[in-house]
Amino acid sequence: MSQSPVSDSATGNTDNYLAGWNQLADLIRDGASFSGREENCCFLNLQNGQFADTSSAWQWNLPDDGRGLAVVDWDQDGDIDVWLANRTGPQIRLLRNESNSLNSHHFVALRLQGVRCNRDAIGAKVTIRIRSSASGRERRITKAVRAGEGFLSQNSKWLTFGLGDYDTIVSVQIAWPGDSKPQTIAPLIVDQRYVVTQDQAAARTVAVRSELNLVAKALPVSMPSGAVRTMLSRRRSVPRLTGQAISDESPVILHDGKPTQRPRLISFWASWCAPCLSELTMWQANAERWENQVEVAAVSVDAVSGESDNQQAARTMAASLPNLSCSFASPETLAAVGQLLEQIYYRRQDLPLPFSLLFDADGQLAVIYKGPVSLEQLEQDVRTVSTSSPDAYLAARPLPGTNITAWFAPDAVRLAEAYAEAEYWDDAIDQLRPLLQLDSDSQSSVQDSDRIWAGLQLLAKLAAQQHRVADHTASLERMLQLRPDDAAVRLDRIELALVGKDPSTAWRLLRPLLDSPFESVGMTTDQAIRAGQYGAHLNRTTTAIRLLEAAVKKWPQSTDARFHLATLYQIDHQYSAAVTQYRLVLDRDADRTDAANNLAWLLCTTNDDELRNPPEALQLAQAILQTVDASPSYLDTLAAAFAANGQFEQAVTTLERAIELTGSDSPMIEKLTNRIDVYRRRQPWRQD
Amino acid sequence: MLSLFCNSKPATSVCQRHCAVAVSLALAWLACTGCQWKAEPTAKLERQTASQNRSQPSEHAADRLPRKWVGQAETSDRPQTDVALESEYWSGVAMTAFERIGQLWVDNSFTSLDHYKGLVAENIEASQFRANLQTVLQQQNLQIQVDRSRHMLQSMDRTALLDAWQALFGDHSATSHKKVKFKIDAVQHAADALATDVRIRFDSYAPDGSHQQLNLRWDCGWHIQGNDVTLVRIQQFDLEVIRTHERPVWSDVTLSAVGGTAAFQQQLQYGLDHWLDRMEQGVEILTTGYQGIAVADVNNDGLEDVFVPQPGGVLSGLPNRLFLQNADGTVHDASAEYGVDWLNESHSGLFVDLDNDGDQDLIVATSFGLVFTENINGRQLKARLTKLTPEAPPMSLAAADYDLDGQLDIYVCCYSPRQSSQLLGRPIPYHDANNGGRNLLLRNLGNWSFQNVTIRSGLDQHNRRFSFAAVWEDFDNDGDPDLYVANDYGRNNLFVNDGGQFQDVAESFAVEDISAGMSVAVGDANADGWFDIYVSNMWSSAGNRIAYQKNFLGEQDASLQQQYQRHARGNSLFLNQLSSKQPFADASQMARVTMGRWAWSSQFADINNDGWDDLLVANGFVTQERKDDL
Repeated sequence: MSQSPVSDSATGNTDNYLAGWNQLADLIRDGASFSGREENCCFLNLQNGQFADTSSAWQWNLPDDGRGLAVVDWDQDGDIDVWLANRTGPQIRLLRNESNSLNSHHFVALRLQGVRCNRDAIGAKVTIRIRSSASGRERRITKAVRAGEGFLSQNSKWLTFGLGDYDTIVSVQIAWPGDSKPQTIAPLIVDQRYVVTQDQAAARTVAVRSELNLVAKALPVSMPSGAVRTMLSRRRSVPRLTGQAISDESPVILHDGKPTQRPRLISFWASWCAPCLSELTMWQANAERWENQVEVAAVSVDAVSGESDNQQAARTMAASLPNLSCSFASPETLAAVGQLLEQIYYRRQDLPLPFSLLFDADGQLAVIYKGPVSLEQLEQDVRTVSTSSPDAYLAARPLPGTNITAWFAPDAVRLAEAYAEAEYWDDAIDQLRPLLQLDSDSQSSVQDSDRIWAGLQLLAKLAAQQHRVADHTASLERMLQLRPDDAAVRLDRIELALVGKDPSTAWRLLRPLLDSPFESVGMTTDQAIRAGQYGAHLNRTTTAIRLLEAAVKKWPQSTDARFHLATLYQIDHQYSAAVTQYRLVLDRDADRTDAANNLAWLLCTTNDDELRNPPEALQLAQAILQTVDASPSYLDTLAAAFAANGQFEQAVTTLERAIELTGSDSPMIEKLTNRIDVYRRRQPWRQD
Repeated sequence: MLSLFCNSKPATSVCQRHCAVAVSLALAWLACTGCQWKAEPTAKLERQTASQNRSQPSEHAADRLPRKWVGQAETSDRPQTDVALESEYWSGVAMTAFERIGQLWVDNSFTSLDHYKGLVAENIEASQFRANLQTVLQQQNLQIQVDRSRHMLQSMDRTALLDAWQALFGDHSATSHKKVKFKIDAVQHAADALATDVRIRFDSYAPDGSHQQLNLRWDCGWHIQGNDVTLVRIQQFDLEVIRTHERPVWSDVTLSAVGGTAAFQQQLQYGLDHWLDRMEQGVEILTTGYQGIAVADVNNDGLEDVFVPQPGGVLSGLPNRLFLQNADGTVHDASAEYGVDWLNESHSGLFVDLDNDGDQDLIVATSFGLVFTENINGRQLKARLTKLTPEAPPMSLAAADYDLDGQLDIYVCCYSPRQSSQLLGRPIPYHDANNGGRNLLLRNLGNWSFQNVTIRSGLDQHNRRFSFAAVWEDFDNDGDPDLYVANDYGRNNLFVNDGGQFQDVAESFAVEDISAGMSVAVGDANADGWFDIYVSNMWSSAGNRIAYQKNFLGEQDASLQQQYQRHARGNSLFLNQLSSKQPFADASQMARVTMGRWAWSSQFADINNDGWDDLLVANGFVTQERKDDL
């Protein structure tokens, strides 16, 4: 059967289909059940290829929205108990298996320990052969150690074998991971627990536990209930809330987001709601105590609820709440509150009464109370919202715990790194591409300029590896825009331009490096050398020499800078200067065979009679080959040195060796063949 | 506008509007996705709480008829809706009749013929119910008898039928408490006739603790008159009678074990909805509740301990819990002490000895990626390494030494890519989705270093599915672990390992199991020494009813209809035959293990220690206060 193409989503019109999913999710949000109240299933093996559903007979049939299921002989009585994880409450259950007290079946339990294989012996397979002394029948049972099985679950690593009426263990064979032959261990006794170590002949018996205090007790499913207090993890700006004045039902502002002198509590109530009245009465009674801490605004929903009317509410206020600031809610008020709750909570519910919102003095929503709130709680919350703690979310946690978000810091750069590790190059580059946009403010996960820089660096690196020239160019350009003084980026960009046969761009970018006073550019030695090389590539040899001369002056100890300066002199036909610099390099570091080789070549091939020194060249060339392996280039030099000294036979033989070592498709071959002809004619090779 | 309620005076006005909207939207969704609609007309009757005002067929009709199809999916995902709805309507009518008959059984009412008037025809064709009942399993505390045969139909009058029913339902104990549940999984409708396949579970709990559970499957014929139906034919084709003595095998010791901890009292005794009502959406607690559980001996005291991952988000959430077992089998909370009380969304934990030093290290799948902790002398789980999963939050984890270098490697299942991480994901196309998150194989390089080798090992093949779970086992018996991956919304993978290189052979091994895969477990179902595979899927009676309608998808695509039917079939059991011709045999229906409902975890476990692997299934999707079910 063919696979569904990934591109289905791109070609087919799936809008309505996806809308269907959204509607479904919406229904669940609205409180509908979806295959709810289903009971867990337990299929018993009938030993004839069939199973029977024994779910209710054995009281396995819990209706918990079960998810995880881990089997383990928790009480160590030789049968398998179960931990369950559920969506509804209780979120976990321990179900004890009583079968060992209900039948006379035997068991044996093994915990394997690897020595040559992984220590947990995961992947090990155990086959036991058992016999019933009553019937004389024998059979085998096979189990294996696994880690991770079922939905988000992991079972015990103990292997518990139920043996039925078979009361003798005839043999135990263990196939350890990686072993070609199974290990046979010494006979075991039924109804015992053992630890078996790889390569040890005998298993170790584990002592039986002496203590157990687990009592069965029914635990019904729990549905959400009770008053709710939500301390928001971050304060929220809330759109304006208006109500109606008691006097003439004209609009009054309940909340407009402006700072207030004190935190403000807006409490919604109705005259027919007894808990509301007792809460308001309590606040009324404590009005003086509150005066300097919190403003309380009581908003009646009598009329909008359709259960009562404003007159009834006004009478209640006049009679019982003279000290509170009171108003009526309008339909708009409730609509605004409804929208607010929809943003904050996943589950949509009818608005409970009483219902209160606590704003901090900055006019931002801080706490929501669905149902009554105690004086003590309110006082504590007012204190909390009055201090502007940066760790507001700490107070918002329902229970203490550790936030580990920072361990991942999952920004685009880390995501790209993770993709790159797995060699998903396209995805890695896709993650980073948004960093190329100029308005970095709009970038999602990466805000910090250092992270943006790191991302662009990674993008440049990945693009270079994957030969994505456009991405490579774009990333370097973007980096140059951000940090025009970064020499490394500039050099990378120049190199890319050179590779792309774009000398004008290369020169445009290189020029500022060469022109500016050397110190102000802040290049490293290596960068100066690269700049010099690129200058030479662009036939700006004089400029490049000037740069490297400055570099040698700045880093006189650097044989690298000096070596490259010498090379540039050589290219520029300033042989004498080149010889001087090569000699200085070799004075500082006699092992620099590259300098020795270039010097030797120069000394034996130059037309300048004063400089030419064939004996020294031969000496140098021979010394090189005593310290490093022969390479075509070094052999070529040696051959030239032989020829310069008149030893043409050696020159030819040496060059033949060089040709042998050179790949036939190398561009060097032609040069070498030309030279060998010269030597065969008994002539030395001369540069120029 | 919101409606209001107060503890002292509940208001109902708005709820009714919501409910009406819910029904029409659920139907619209059905049109989009075919068989996934699970509007189970399940009746649950108990003697004590028998519902007095059962809805009449006409009301069902009003609720179930379509108002307007809201969404129209791409062609291949649109069923012929009228036909589907017709089956749903008549299923509702038959269900109402079953409920009323079932109530009479529960009430031990087998002699008053009048009670059955209008429900059961005076003369009925029925097969015998217990004629060939045979004991297939007899253990001390347990007897199981089955009659799998389809007996001849005989004409009988109502009295004879009631006598037979009394023998069937009334024989266990006169004083027992009884319950009955019906599930209709096939409907066929003609002008004045209706046929339904129904599954019936009839429980009888006696005061002495003994219990009889009947599982029946009947093919029922009805005569239609207007909106009413009368039962005219019962052909039984399966009966299981399970009798237990003394007391049930499972006892709930949760309160005793963990009820004393503050963690349980303040946190775990409440379900997810409790917390959704209290915490901001921004913290990303998902209502689907994808949290599992893991056991291992963390402190090396010889007693198993348990890790409970918990939901959460970026800013806040519920702390994960690590419970250590006390000497008496109860637990204490060591989450903070061991350093794993993280608030961020965590899906699963996996205990393995990653550094081979003899203690159990813990890997946790959080919404960002994996945290690897090192067990320090059994006293602390110290975070050593995080591993971002770039595409999707990790779900189930499974460890094995796939390259046999002595170090455990980790396979990580990823479900829904983050960009589309809305509730339930957005699979395209529904029945064979290929836009899920890519799974990872992390190779253990030693010294707490892990490398993503998914591509290098060949595991990037067919790697865009919605993977919930995987299991390692040496299915082909060649000495290295192979990998079975259970995927939602389509096909599963079986990756055969050949020297550290994998090849997906699910199709040629006939274990693709195109369906809504939730998890996979391994055991030896037939005790032949070869490891078999059990996959959790969604069993949907509504899906079965609809997907088997002749015109479900019109004329367009018979194989597509089969795929939808397969999606509703439920759990799958694949027997390993270790033959090259047919490596696995699909024994799901023959073994009668498909009806695991909306299944999540399944595990093989020999629960009665008779040496044969049984199957445990945890199921149910979202239970909220409202009883109406999508």
